[in-house]
Amino acid sequence: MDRILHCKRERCSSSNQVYKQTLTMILKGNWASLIMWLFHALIPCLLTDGVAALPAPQNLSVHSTNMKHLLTWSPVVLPKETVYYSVEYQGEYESLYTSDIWIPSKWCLCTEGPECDVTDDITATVPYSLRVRAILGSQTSAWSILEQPFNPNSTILTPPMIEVSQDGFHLVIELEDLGPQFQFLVAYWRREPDTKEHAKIVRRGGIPVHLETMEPGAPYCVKAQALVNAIGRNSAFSQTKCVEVQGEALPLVLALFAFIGFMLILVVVPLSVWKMGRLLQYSCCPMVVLPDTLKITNSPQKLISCRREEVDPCAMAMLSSGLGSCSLGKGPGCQELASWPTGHRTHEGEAVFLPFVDKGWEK
Amino acid sequence: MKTQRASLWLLGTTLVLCSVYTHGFRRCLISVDMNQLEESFQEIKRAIQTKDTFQNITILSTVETLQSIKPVDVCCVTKNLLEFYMRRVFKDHQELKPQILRRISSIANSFLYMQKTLKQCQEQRGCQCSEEATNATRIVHDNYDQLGIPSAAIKSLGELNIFIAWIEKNHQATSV
Repeated sequence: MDRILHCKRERCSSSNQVYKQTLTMILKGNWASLIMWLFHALIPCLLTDGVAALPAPQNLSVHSTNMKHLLTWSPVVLPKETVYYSVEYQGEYESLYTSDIWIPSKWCLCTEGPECDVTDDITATVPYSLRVRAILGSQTSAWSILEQPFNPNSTILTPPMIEVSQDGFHLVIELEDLGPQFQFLVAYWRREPDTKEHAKIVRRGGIPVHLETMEPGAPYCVKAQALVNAIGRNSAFSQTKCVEVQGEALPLVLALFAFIGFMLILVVVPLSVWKMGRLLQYSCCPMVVLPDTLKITNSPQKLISCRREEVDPCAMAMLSSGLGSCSLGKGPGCQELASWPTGHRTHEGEAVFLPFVDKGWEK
Repeated sequence: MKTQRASLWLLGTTLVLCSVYTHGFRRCLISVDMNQLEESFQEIKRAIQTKDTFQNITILSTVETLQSIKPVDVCCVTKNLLEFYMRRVFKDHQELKPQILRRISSIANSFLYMQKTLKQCQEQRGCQCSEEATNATRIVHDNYDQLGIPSAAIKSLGELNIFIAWIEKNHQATSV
């Protein structure tokens, strides 16, 4: 709620101003009252005859940045005196329809400095007229009006301040808070060839906003611009800021080596296993195949060369057990020999392995 | 062959009708900060509405007048109601308290900006006033005249929220 401010000096109250203006309007048709009012208004002037009139402030101008409008003027300097100022405004509506109505500024009814923040007064996107006057005690200067009405769409929009950070793997941006009239367009991308740029609208500054979950390997870059819908304009883009996450994954080269090693293992290991197997097979359990002629079987008859008939019959007879007298002629035939058990020992102590005697035995 | 022709003709007609309908239905959008307008109104609502002594009468009736406006009449009605507020309501109301005067000035100047931005759009689209639109406007003016200044001005100011909500519904991109 606005309070009616009073200057430290006596008669600087806003209520008087507004009531006077409105009273003027209401009494428009009433000439007698008007004359009375004029008379009362002029009394101070008549009484202060001889005192120099208070000069009006000069060089009014408005500096506007990011929808913050500042009215400034050249101060009225008087020795040993503190001069106060009063600011009033009039929107285009008032200047068209109710041109004698000036509205006192919210914060500068009675201000010391040669400047006034008129942001809260200039609310619509129309030209506003502004006027200032100096006040010293009961004296007021003439009104000094801004040359060119000020339209807030001529404000200077600066690129917003941005803070880009990482929260673990999250890309987070915080924009400066420029008020409810501002929205922001945030552009972000992964700094890699052939990647698309993403855009996001952020409705309010001052709070951290999550953009994307980052993957290691390349930096992520962000830039932002301010948008003001009320005046249909944007600021330029801010400077680009980049961050990168360090990943737990191996660098590319190491990964390549690992892959090659793995492939080698995949090929070499089975090969060596197979080789080793073969080696072992040959060394401990060889698969040796004896030729048929050397095979020991239960039927020696197969091995005996039945053509060896030149064997000494007597030797044969001595060797035989229970075969009777030595008989000349052919040695025991194949069948006879076959009846002898293998390994039969004579008393001479000679093992009888006639079939296994080498060929040298043959006469 | 005959069925082919018939279906093509039907398709063509449908497309033409659709384009005509959507052309009439397309809204003129305004980029005024409606939140700020609503805020300005909320700040003065109590002060204004307590001064309104005719509780049972309405000038901008929610049930009959505004809600029954067809999309094709929106352009004309918006134009007329903005004029109504600018030329009659804000001008007729005499405000003494600076804080309320500031809010009313804010709303009035926002309306002026709205008028300017809509004018261009309306000229392009051809804002034709149908009989219904003209009737609706006339009802509002009649109600206002019946009540008489200053009560009518106060009542109309008190009903600004109805008008603002209606504008938001019909002229903002975000609304359905």
